[in-house]
Amino acid sequence: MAGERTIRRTAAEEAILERFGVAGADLPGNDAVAGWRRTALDAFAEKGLPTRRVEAWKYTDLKRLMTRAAPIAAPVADATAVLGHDPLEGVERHRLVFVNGRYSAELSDAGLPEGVKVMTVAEALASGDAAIADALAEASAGLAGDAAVSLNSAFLTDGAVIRIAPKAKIEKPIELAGLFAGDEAGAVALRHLVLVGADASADIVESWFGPDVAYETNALTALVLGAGARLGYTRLQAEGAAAVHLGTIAASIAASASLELFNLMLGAAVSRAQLFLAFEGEGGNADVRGATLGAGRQHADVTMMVDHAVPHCTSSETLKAVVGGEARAVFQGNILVRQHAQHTDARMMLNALLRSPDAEFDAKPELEIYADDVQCAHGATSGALDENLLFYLLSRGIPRAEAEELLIVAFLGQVLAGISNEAVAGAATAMVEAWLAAGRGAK
Amino acid sequence: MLEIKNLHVTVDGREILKGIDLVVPTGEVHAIMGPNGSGKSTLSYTIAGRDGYEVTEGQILFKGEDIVGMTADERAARGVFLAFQYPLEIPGVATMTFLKTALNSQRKARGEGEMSTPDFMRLVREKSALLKVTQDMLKRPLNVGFSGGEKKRNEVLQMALLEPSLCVLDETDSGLDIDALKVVSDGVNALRSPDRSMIVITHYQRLLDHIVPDVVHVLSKGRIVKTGGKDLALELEARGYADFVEDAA
Repeated sequence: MAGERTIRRTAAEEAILERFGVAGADLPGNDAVAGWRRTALDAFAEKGLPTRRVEAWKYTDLKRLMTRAAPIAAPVADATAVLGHDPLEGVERHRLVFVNGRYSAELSDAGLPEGVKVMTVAEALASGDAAIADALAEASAGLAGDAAVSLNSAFLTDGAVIRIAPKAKIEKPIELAGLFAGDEAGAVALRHLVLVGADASADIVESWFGPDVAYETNALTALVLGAGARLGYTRLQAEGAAAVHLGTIAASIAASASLELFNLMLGAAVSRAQLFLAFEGEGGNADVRGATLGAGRQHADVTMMVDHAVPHCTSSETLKAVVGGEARAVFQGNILVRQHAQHTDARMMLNALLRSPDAEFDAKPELEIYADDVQCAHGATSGALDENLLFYLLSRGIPRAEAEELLIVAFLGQVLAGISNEAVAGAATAMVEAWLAAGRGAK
Repeated sequence: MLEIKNLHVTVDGREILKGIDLVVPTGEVHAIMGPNGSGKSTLSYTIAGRDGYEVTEGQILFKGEDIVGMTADERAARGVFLAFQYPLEIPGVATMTFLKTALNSQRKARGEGEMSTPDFMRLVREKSALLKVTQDMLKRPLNVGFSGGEKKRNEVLQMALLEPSLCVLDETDSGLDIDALKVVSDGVNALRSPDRSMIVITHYQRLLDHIVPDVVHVLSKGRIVKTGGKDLALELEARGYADFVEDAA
């Protein structure tokens, strides 16, 4: 036909479209859900995987990095067999476990405390729960242009809807575990919805683990904080070495609510965490900290968008990366201060420790300020370990590998300190130390 | 204990030490004095094994063994200790963690078992009391926010804990007022023993009033130009370095 563009699709793009053709009809949800899945897929078909020409994906050319795409992951017959080493062992918590994109009742701990209600997304969609379906659609509504979000909308199979009652103080953290099992490549898409009632307080850990199989994870978590609520949200991404992980957090923060977000990235061949934060009421606060650990040829991208839409909110973003080998860490941070958002206080600091000449750190901090009475700052640094400090430790008899590990943990200490739940902070620190002890912190 | 023979050291392609010969017998305290730029700090870093201090000629025999090819941590485990002129601040590493890691690393390298936490705590408490190092200081990140005196006391505490056979004190008096100097010197003197040797590097004689040396060497332009008894320090103080520097020229 005259004027029609020839769309050249990569093998991965073809496989993704084929995945929908094969399994799309079996994905959970009523006609309305099927409708928005279709719309999302069409959006993806139109644009394809993002390339570096898409500004938000400037440093993560997914079209090039994602060389293949797997069919939807097959369910696991015996879920209990997949639980190997538990990195959060010793952390007292409630567990909601998803294996290959499906809730596992056997592995989960159903004994949730008073004030917490949980429903699975698959359940809600199967029962035709329109309110949940709408809420799930709402979670991605503002992000429809993003490829990772489109794919999540098209393929999501399950997830948790967690509702925390107003004023509830949940003592033990709740873990949302995403596990992959099996030797066959597979694609997983989960969407969680966390609704924290007014003046409630909770801690949630989102964890990702899997074997060294070429699987794909796409997760989207919507966090909705009511007025005066507090949520500690810790993401621990420790996917298998061949995995592709795309994780999105979309948080909405009401008046005087406080979000403490921590994002650890140490697994997967290619990973991207997208953090979208929006202030919806005055007096809101967000403390975002993160640690990215990269070795070998890993590629890890953290992209943040903080929307100060209302006055008198504070946000602080501190991200640190330790990159060795030929690995690449990316930080993009955009702080938008809208015209009405007077008395905003926003600070962003990005620091990288480069462990080898071929390691790469790309930082793109941006401030977009339309209000005139605000305090905003950003900075970015990158460098090697301080030789003077190393010599001091060596001169006391501490071997080089251990001395380097000590200094790297110290470097990350500032961000790890952002996890207010002590047990979770301990587990995250132990994961970092194990990663270093495995020699992956070496040059 | 220590025998340095014809030591030549190059830093960044420039020769700083040009043939040092120095013998420090077991149990003796030797002072090395010299003007700025004479190579005092280079000598201390070279003995401790800092990277970038290249030995182009000569030997450093420590307990009869040439340590030139050894890394700094290997030398430390064998009993070499350098007290820094400017101890470094390491945010994020608690002083206590640092001390315990250092002690246990050395024990491990020597094939000894790690010290248990209660034993370690007891040891630290005992040694820190003498040096007026408070529990609060031990809890803080290493040297962060410490005054000059606190940093130096912390250096001597490390020395007391690690019990080295050879202590090299690099300009330990710098940045200390007279009271702090007294505490630090008392700490050092308490560690003097027939089994331990010390090299006290200083620009000024005043430290040697407190830590009285057995032998004084004068270093100039990368060579030892004069060796004498403790009175040599007084002579230097009275006459200045100029005469000695000219002698060497």
